Amino acid sequence: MSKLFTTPSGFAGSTLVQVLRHTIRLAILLSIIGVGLVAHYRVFVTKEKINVIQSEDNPNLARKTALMMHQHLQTAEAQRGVEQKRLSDIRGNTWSADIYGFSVTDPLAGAESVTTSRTITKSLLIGLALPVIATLLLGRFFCSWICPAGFLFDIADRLRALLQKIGVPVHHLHLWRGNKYVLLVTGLIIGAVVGVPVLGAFYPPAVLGREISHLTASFFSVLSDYPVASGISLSGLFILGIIIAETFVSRRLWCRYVCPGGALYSLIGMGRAVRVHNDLKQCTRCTECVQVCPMGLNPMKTKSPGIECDQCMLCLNTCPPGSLSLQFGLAKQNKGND
Amino acid sequence: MIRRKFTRMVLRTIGVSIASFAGLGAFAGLLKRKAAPNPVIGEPEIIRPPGALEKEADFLSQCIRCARCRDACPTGAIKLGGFSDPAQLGTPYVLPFESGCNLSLACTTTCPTDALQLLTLTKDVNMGLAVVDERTCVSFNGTGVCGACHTACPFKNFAITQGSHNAPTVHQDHCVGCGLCEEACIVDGIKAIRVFSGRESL
Repeated sequence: MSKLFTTPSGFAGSTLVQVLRHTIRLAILLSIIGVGLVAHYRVFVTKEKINVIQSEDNPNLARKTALMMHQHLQTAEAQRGVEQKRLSDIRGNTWSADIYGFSVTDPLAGAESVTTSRTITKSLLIGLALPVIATLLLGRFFCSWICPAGFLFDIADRLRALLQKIGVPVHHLHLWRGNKYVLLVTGLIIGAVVGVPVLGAFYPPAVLGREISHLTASFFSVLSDYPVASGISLSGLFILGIIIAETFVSRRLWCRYVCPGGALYSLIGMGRAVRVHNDLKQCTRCTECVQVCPMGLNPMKTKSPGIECDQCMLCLNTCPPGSLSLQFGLAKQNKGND
Repeated sequence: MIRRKFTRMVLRTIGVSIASFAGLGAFAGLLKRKAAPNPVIGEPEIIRPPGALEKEADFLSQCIRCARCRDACPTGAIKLGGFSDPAQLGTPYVLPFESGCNLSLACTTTCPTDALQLLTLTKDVNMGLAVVDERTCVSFNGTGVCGACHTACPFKNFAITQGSHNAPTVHQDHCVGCGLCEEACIVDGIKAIRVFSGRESL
């Protein structure tokens, strides 16, 4: 067993980790928007070209349409011929992304697809490989390092702290943590019975990705007059509702008690190799870490804060005596420390 | 003490699962509604992108609603279902009268779950079949000579052949249902050549 990361109090690197974490998530959120903009800008340009051909004064309507369609097919053929990497070859969001042909899919998406259709496809397995292996090693790291919805909920967290400082009353509702596991299981069962994936329809990162994809598409449809499908704007209100609830009702209401994706990540990362460890010799039982933990866990426990720890490292960075550290080791080795 | 904790946990599990079964069941019913009639065609017909699994039930269960196919589509032909759309929430569909599929097959290469199966040949696409309405077609009813669908067809002289006055005839063996003919059709409103997928709408 070896210490990976220790933060003595006042260590300058501690804030650096948090800055890095927020930067990564902001970058992911912005890149989802950017990917959508690039994809739909390409469509916009193609459609504009067709519009120009259509508006030209051409007496023969059939020839006009023929020109237009040939434009279509030429772009198609050109795309098939081009092998160089282009920016528009990155697509998708954290729910499922395609990075130059390399597929990354959220384990919840995989679990739902497998249970509802009762088939496992090769491309799904390839897409699941990276996130599942990373979760096996790092636990529920997705929630605090990648999830773009979690980033928004963190902002709600800040807002909550600010309101408390000003003196606005906020509630401290505590629910049962098992809720999310029950929700995950019932969601998968209902999906299997009905034949339609249910959890993905309200899982915040998936909703956010779809919503951004829709908004970028409609952004360009405002510029031109080509029609775009109506979107899923209701689910945008849903995200807003969660943010309001997390600000006024309970800290990290969704992530702590409801999120089925977080539940799945917790379960996959049960035997994680990297975990927060408390050195009892140095610990002064000041409970700073308990107060700072966004997931409402107790990092003072020797073994680890539990399977729901999302490796945000906030407790490490606030610990005054610096008794908390990240340790690398398998679950069985850790038990000896108790 | 432990026993009390255990019974409390069991009771909570039962309570929450009953509540979530009811809630999610109602939500699933909302998601799995019947296709709404298409605003222009007037029928609950859904045309899925190329390579979509043949059975609609298989497609709906395998698709994870990730929007990758929509982002991949070079001509914006793929649309995603919203709450008021003919297709189910988040699932991809094509409205050929707005934009036909240009058979780039980009969507089939990007699908993460193979709900759209990988296709390499455009002739393997099976989105539907174009049907000519001889009453409204300009070349058929004698109001003019058009041939727009024939020129737009990527399999011209195979999928669509022309008769007198450029009157089109669709051949089932070669038509892939891309809908470029429907997009090109000069008839206003309901087009004279339309693509039907023949998918049962769930």
